[in-house]
Amino acid sequence: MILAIPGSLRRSSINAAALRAAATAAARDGLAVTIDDSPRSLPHFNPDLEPFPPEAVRRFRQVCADAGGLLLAVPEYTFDIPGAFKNALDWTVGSGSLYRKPIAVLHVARAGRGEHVREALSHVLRAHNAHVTHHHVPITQRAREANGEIIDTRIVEQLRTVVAQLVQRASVSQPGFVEAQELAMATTVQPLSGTYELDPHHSTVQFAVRHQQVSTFRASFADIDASLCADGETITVQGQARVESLTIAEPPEFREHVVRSADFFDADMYPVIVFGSTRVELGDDGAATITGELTIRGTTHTITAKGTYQPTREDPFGNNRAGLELRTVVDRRSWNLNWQLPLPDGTDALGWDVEITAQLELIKKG
Amino acid sequence: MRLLAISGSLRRHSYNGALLEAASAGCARSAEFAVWRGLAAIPPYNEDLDETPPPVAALRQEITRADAVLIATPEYNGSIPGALKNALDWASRPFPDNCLRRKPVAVIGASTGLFGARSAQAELRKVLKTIGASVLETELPIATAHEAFVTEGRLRDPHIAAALCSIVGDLLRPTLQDAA
Repeated sequence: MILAIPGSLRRSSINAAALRAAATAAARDGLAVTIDDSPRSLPHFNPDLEPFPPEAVRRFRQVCADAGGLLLAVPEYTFDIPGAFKNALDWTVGSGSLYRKPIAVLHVARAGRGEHVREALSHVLRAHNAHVTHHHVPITQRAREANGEIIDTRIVEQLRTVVAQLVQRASVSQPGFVEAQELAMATTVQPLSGTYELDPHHSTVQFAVRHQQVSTFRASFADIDASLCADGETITVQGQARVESLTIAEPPEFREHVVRSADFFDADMYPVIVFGSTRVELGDDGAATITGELTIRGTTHTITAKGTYQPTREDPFGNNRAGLELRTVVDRRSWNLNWQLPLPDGTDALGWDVEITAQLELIKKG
Repeated sequence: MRLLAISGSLRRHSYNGALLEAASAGCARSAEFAVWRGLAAIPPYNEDLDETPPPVAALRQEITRADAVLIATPEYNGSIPGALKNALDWASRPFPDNCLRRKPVAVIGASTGLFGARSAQAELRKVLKTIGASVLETELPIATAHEAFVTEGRLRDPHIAAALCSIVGDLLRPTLQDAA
């Protein structure tokens, strides 16, 4: 599916009309283009809301993440991007929804116009690490019908080509996209059932990294949350950790460097680390394998963690508890945690590989 | 003299809000600082709306009333926060006879990174010039903003505090005001 977002909220917007014409033309080729009007309804971006994003934001992030590619048509306001549209883009940084996303930007202004918004969009979408192409299809008001729609065959043919090229890029750049969808729907009989929530006081999420080549440095996140939902066929696991809650406390400079600086977690811009599973396998032998998307600093990568699970058992207080113990090793550079210093012998002061471990106690809620 | 202070951040403990507070507390004591707190209420710009939304009318009125405007912006995705740009989209209309026309405006900014929202400041100055404001060319990038304040309203570095007051002074200078 291609998600088409107009940058103008006007009913008679020529950019919106161009996207409708592109969707109609693509439908004839059997290609799905969905028009999304989220810039109209999204709240203003506020980093304070990042830990619990509003429903409209979660929905918008999800449709962006699910889309194979984005088709944008954006007018130029004051030599720049319309604020409401830029606001929608601001929300997708924390979730990494546009990371490596193929994006086609449609420019309908006549030649020589709209250069500023083109430049501004290129600049901003580069910050998202999106893969952007620009397509100039000038459309004059005269090319529109009385009802505002665009049916001029020459223009429609150009729009059709833009969508076809975008779909081509989407299928080449994201082969894993379709697979992940299929995996999420895979069915197995599961030993856990119902909804579970984390007991954060008896759970640990920790990372470990080789330090100065002599030992291993470990730190944990105190403020964590997770849930497991087993509906009989599929199990999903969601989790998050607040960067601010990192147990590094002293000295303050060390804490600031790791928690806030761009060398590491950049907590003001990206306050939360998020994980969402795409496949959960619990074996008869107690083995657990969880694959999913880990988002740190607005960048999302698929990881697989392995370990064990404990089936549900009752505790002295009447709760039903299950357990998950997982481990994975990742290369921190994948999430742009790139800080490094050379030791006098030329080796690295800080390991690139980071071991992440989670010991989770989950209490059944329903 | 009345100076309207606008923060581009909606965060409760915003460093840009703190920067404006530092300007209000430490610079041009004779001037009246009015901090605009209406950003959250501004709806997405839409020319189809028949009537001006009340929060937009209030913003335009505040700008009109002010002798100068000081904007402190964070940087999101290498540029101006969408919400702030949206407010300016509203303020820019009707073009060219809008409330910002020939209004003395200065742009400052703070970020926790190493560049102090410099890119967003440059972009914002460009936008404000396009709208028709009399924009000060000076920039004030406050980098590593989480270390820049002693208390909420006081900057740690006296040179930065002086640079901030010099911008406020320039903004309220009679020559610039006469041009407006």
